[in-house]
Amino acid sequence: MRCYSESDERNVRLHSLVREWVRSGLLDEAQGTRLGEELRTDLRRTNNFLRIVLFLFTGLIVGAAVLLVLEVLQIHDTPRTTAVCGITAVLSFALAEILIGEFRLYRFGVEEALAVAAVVLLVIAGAGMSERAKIESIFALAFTIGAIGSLLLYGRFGFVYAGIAAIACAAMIPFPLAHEPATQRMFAGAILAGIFLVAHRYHRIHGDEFPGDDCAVFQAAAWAGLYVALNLQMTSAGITTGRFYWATYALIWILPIAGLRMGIRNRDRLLMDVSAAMALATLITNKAYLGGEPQSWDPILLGLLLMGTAIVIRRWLASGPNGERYGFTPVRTLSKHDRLMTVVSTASAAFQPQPSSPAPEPATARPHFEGGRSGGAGASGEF
Amino acid sequence: MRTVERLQKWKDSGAITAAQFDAIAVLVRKDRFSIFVELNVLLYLGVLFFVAGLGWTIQAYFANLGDAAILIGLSALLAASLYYCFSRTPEWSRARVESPNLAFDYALYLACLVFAAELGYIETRFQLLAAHRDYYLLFSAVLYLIAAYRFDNRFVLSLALSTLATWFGVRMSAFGFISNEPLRLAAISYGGVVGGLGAWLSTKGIKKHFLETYLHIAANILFIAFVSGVFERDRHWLYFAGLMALVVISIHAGVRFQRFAFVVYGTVYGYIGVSSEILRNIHDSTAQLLYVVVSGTVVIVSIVLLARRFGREE
Repeated sequence: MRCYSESDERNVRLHSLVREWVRSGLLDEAQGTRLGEELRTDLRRTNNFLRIVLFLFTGLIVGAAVLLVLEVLQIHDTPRTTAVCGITAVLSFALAEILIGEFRLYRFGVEEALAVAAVVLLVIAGAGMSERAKIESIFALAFTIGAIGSLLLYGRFGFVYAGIAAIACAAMIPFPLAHEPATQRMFAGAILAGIFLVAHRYHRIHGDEFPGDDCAVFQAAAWAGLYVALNLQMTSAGITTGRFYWATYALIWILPIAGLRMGIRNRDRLLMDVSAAMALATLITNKAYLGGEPQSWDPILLGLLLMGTAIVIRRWLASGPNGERYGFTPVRTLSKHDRLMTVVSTASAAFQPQPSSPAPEPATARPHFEGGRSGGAGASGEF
Repeated sequence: MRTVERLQKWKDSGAITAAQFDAIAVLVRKDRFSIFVELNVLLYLGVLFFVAGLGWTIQAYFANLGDAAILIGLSALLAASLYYCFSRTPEWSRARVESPNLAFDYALYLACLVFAAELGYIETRFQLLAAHRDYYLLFSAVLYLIAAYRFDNRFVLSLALSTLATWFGVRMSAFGFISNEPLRLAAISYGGVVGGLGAWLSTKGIKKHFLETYLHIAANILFIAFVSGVFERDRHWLYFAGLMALVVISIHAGVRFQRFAFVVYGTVYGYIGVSSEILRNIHDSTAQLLYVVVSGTVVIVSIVLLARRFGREE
């Protein structure tokens, strides 16, 4: 079913590993070039920046082309709009196939946008076909088409983000179908738990080699989705008490711990990181879950906990033999770790915290004792 | 064939040495597993949460705590953070200097943010500079810049550049121009100063690895300023000319130095600017859609040609 062979997929991945080893100084340039030649495939690729531009502009063209057809043919009714969307979806998919088959494009942006556009147009066409149905049914159908279409994209082209979209769409299906928030979340949780188990099993079979690396992503995505579906304080569910509420409270503690345990045991970075983020979300939402009032010192305590945890772990690992324990080390082993932190530090310019200051007091406060309400230092009073 | 088997084959054929095989295989098998990024993210988030809580607490309880308690507390925290940094700092060098430990960079970042909180508190409560309070921003930006270069810290560099941007914004707004013009001029001046400063320091060989941080921030600010100018009715040709010049520089330099993010900036911002100018004069929706299809195709063909020639690397 895959349009790329397994050996091509493995060679592409190994080629990028070789480049990373060269950048990290583990291999020299000449070795990198020689090994790269051995791993060369006939696939046409580009760097990620140009890929993003090509993806955006192809998507823009497909969208504009559909609207142009509707405009030129003066189509304003739903059945014919649906037909145009359906036909364009088929054409987009066929074009993506041709580009890959004829020109051997691989993650080039253009073929990706065409394939994604095909699924989006199919979802619109599906929703259009059931326009007389209830809005809940239309949404359920749209999510179902989205899930199946995205899964097909992953199966055919191997786009990992399409697999993640399929998981998200599948998890959304119960929401328009069930009326009770608890039922919605239980079914969504069951779907995500099922996906997690399947992905986990395949990841264990294949390890981190293709297609195990994709399964690791799906496993982490389903795990994160399961947490989001069950944490009732992260997304407004309208449930504030009851058996289900307290069961989810227990689960938002159990899931991160279980995920961290699995991630650490299997050295599964994605699962570990996702579970750590879940643990952070649990700490942030814990007070709201228990009905407590947020206090200004809560972030201070959380900040101290995070910093303290990082320092304790680093010291503990660094004090082990060769600066590591159980294979875990706090030092960077590849140059990509450094590049990632460079990106984070540069991006931090866009969201620097601005420590707030108290509002200035009037320069000359006249004594007058009427009209002030309690709180806000009586600032609402009229003088 | 799995990665470790391939490595073994390369070792047997002499393509890699036994030492290289050992160093790489241990990473592939995950017998050596780095959590460097995770620990850094924990520290970074920890500092952000801590400072956010500090600001919130000061705002909520300054009346109860009193000025003295707050200022003594902040000063003690600042002094402790700075003492930590100065007592452990390696010798200054023009080249890149590794941090002595993981927490070092974040202790300095915390010190800078606490300094900002304290300065903000002092000015708000005592209004020492009153109408000229924006000079606090300039002073802070310069101080952060010095700290970033002294301690080789990119987080503090980003803080310096964003504080400088705030100063430019406040300063130009104070001139009292109408509409968005002062902000736009501030952004252009800021972009020019930051880009120029980064390039100058880099040519002097001082912390060359900081250059990209300068250029990314400067390029985005300049592009946003010029594009927003193109959207305006007045003097938009001036901004359009500026945008086109910037597009050419960005794409040319991006291709030449293999920094394709700048090619993306040039293409996307340039397309938005050009399309805004052309679509301003097209009122028929069919013609507008046709323009998007044709112009989009032109961009794709150009990028594909560029990718085939220069951007083959993943």
